[in-house]
Amino acid sequence: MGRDLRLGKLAALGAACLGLAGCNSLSSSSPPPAANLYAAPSLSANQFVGPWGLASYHNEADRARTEKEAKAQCNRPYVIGKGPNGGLVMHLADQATPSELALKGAEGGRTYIGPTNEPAGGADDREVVDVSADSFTTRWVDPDTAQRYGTMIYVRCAGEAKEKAKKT
Amino acid sequence: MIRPRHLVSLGALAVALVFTDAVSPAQTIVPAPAEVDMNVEDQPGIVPSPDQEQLNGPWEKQVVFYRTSEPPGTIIIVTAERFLYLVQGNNRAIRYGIGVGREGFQWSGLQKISRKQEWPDWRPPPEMIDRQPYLPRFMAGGPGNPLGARALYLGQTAYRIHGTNQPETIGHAVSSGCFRLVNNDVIDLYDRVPVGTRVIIKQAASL
Repeated sequence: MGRDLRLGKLAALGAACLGLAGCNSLSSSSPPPAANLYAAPSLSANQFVGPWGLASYHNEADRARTEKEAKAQCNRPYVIGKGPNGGLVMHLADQATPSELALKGAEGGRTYIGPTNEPAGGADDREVVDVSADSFTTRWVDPDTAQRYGTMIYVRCAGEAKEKAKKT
Repeated sequence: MIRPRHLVSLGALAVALVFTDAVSPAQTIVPAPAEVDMNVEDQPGIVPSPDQEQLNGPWEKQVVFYRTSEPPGTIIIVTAERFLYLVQGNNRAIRYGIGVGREGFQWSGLQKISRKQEWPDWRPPPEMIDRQPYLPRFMAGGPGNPLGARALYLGQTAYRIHGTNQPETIGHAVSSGCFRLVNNDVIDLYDRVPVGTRVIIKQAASL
């Protein structure tokens, strides 16, 4: 129970941190934004790093069960790494090789993930449309890519990873 | 030297000559399946137009003369022909053009439909995730889903008869062992057959 309480406090702290731009800015370690291309992100790269269950949907009615399915995909997690420049090592759409991408801030508190040499909201970006301590949701900016892959939900697998580590 | 693939093509041609009659007069000769399998991955999110989904020639759904001792309601899949037959009785069957397993992924046997699903969810196989690590491990069913509009599960196997968002693959050997129809056809078949339907999968037709 004590562990659950500690986890709960950590989750609450994380959620509070997400709501405070200053807090997030302080902990952000993304590459410095290229001149005039995008603003400093309000989210920290660190909160995206790690293994995630990844699932997608096209119809909003499927969101709830897609979240459950994402959690169930932690046996084949999508792993986001931390790049040497503090960015996120992820795949662009249809690219089999990952690259270091930037977290990009934009007007209205929007956040994008994409190539460092493109402005926030560029055609290769995905927008982070929802984020919590244990999950985040993205949608591709390019309409064709968004149509093909739908809304993508990432659910953190860290708990499973810890459980596995305990057993081995 | 006659290679197995040539035998398959000759067999398909011979069967077509025997089994096709005035019910489908335009189809007295069934073209041999493509000699080269298509190298096509599943492509999530592509929504084909109605024109693209309209099959022509032998792949279009049609009633054909079909002699069999199997009772009406039985599904017979002949992989070498790229056809699925739904036996109607009186030496007739409804014939659908299908896509089948690529070389090394073809199989035969007797199964029953164990489950039916509208707009099935798609889970890319592990080897596809290895090649395309950016893919979601689960995609909720809907238009653009690689499994199409309907799925008929075959016994306890991992194989299904299902729709597709790639109508150009009908008539080709492209899958990992499943049988795919264009969405209109799989909806039609889905509405005609109940759970428990016998499904006979043959490599080639027997005369």
